[in-house]
Amino acid sequence: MKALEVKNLKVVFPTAMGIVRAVEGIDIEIEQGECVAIVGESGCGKSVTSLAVMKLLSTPPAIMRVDKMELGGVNIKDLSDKQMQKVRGKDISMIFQDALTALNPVMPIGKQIDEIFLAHGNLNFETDGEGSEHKHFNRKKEAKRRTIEALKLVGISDAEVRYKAYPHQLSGGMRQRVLIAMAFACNPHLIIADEPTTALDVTIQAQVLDILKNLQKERKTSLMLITHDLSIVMNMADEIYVMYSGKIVERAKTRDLFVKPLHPYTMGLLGSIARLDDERGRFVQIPSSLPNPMHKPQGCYFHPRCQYATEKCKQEMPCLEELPGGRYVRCWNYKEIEHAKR
Amino acid sequence: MKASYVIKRILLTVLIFFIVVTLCFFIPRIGVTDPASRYYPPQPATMSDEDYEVLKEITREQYGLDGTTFEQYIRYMGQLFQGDLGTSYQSGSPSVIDCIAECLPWTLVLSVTNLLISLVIGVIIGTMAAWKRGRWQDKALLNASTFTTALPSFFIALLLSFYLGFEWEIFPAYTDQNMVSNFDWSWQAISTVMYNAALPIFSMAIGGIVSYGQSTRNSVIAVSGDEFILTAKAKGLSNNKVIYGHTLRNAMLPIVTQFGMNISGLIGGSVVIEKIFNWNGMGTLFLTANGNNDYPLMMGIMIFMSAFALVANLLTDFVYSLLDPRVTLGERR
Repeated sequence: MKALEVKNLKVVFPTAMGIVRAVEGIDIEIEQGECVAIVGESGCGKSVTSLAVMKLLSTPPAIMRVDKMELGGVNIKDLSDKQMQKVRGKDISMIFQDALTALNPVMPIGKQIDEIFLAHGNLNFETDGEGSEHKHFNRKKEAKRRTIEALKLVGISDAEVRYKAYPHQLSGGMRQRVLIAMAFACNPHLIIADEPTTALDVTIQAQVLDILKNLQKERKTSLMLITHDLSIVMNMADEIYVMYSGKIVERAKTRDLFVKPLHPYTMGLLGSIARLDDERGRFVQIPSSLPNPMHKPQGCYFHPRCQYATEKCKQEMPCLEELPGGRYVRCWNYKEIEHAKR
Repeated sequence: MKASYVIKRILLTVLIFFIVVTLCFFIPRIGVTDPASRYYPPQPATMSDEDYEVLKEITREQYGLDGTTFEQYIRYMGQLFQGDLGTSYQSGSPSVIDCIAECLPWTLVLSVTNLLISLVIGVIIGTMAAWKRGRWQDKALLNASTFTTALPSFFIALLLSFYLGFEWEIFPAYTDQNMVSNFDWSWQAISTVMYNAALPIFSMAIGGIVSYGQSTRNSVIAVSGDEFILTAKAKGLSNNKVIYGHTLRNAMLPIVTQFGMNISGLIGGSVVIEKIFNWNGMGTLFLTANGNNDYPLMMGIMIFMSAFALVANLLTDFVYSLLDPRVTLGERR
C-alpha cells in the first residue's frame, strides 16, 4: 500500500504583477515505511508542495489542482476542510522548520501535544458508567499520560516537568523534539518534515535526525523530507526527488543519485557538498539563481544556468523520462552529458 | 515574578508619585504673583492702606497662602502625609475629599461605560474585520478609523449635541442638573441618568470602539500569519479551537496593554466632553478649580488621578506577566 500518491499536482498564485506558477504538475509516490526526500533550492516550490499535500494552502489566494491524491489508499482530494481536520494530525502530520515560531508561545508544550490526542478522540478511557464529567476528567488525564510518554520517546528527560514548560524555556533541539513528538503522536501514515533541522546547529542536527530516523523505522511511518541540504538526505532517504522551479527534474533511489546523477542540476547540487576527502580546490557552483517564477524561461527552465544547454533546450521543455531501474530524469541531453563526462 | 522585583516596582511607584505631587504643586504657582488676590475683600474707604495690608495677610493665612511657596510646599506635604487634602476655596469650604467624592461617581458613569462598550464592541468588530480581511467589513473599519482620527471626540460631541439634541430633540443636549440632586437609586432616576448620559458616552465611545477595533484587527491578522497557527491547523484542530485557543489568546496581549492604559484615564474624566454636555464630573470640577485658583482642590484632583494611574499601570504590568509567560518581570534569563 502506498502511504501517499499524488498525481499532477499544480499550485498557482495569482498576484497583481502576474501569475506565479509555484508547482507545475508533480507526481509523488511514497511507499509505507519509506522515506522520500524532496530536494531543491529555496523558492523551487518544496514548501508549497508540502502544504498542498496537507491541504493547508489558503485558497484563495492559492489555486490548487490535482488529478489524484490518496493518503494510505484513501482519497483525500475531494475532502472538505472539516473532513480534513479529522485527517490532519491523525493520518498525516507535519514537522516545521523553526520550532520556536511553530509552537504557541503562551501555551505549555504539554498542552499543545494534548490537543492532538483530545482532537482525535482515540483515548480509551474506562467506561464505568459514571457521568460525563468523570469521563472528561479521564480523557484529559489520559491525554497527559500519552503526552508524557511521547515526550520520553523523543528523548526529553524530566518529561513530567517539561510538560509544563513554555517553548521559550526549552533549547532549540528540545523544541524540535517536541515537534517530532507532536508529529508521531497519533502514529500517522505519513509525516512531512519541512526543513526539520535547518534552524539547528550541526551537532544538534545530527541528534534530531537520529531521533527522527529511529522513530520512523520503528513505527514504519512514511516520511516526506523537504530540504535543500543533500548531506542530510544521504543518510535518511530511500528515494530522492530533485525539484527545480516547480517541476521534478530528477527522481532516483538515493544510492543511484549519489553515485550517478543524470541531470546537470543534480550534478551541480552534489558538487556543492563539502566532503572530508575532498581534493577539489573550489566547490562547483551553479551560476546565477532560480528564474523569476513570474517569467520562467521558454524551453527547459534550467537552460540559462546549464553548461550543456543546446538549441533544443531553449525551445522545448523536456518531459520526465522514465529509465530502467525506476529512475526518472527531465533532460534532453542526459545521455550525451554522461558520455561527455567519461 | 520575584518578590524583590515587586517591592522595587512599588517603591519606584511611590517615588514617581512624590515627584508628580511636587510638580503638581509648583507648576500652577509659576507666574502667579499673588494667588490670593481674588479672595481679598474690597478695601473699605475708611481703612488705611497699612490696615488693609494686615487684612490681606489675614486672608492669605486663611487660605494657607502665607509665607514663601516653599514654606507652603512643606506645609502641604506635612498635611498630605497625614492623609489631609485640605479644604477647597469654594464657598462653604467643603473638604477636597467631599468635592471629589461628589463628582467622581458621575465621571465613572461616563468613563466606565465608555471603556466597556469600546472594549467589547471594538474587540468583536476587530476580530470580524480580521476574519473578513480585505472585504467590506474590513474596509469599513479602516475608513471609520481615518474618520475618527481626523475628527476629535469633542467635534463629534458637538455634532451629536446639535443634531440629536437641539434639532431632532431625541436626547438631551444639556444635562439636567436635577438629575444629580434628585438621584435616589430608583429605577426612574437610573433611567434618567442613562438617558442623559447617552450622548456623552456615545461621542466618546465612537473613537474608543474604532481604536480597539483597529488594534484588535491588526493584532489578530499579525498572529494569524504566525507559524504556530499553521501548526495548530496541521494538528487537525477545529476552526474554533484554532481561533479561540491559539489566535485570540495571543492577539489579546496588546489589547491588555491598551486596556490598562485606558483604565488609568478612567477617573480623570473628559474635561471637554463634560463641558459640552454640562456633565457634573471630575473634568468640570477641575476646570472650575483651575478658574478659581483653588489650589487645594486642583492638587487633590491631580494627586488622586496620578495615584490611580500609577496603580493601574503597576497592576497592568503584573497582569501582563501572568498572561504572557515570556514576560518574566525582573528575572534574568
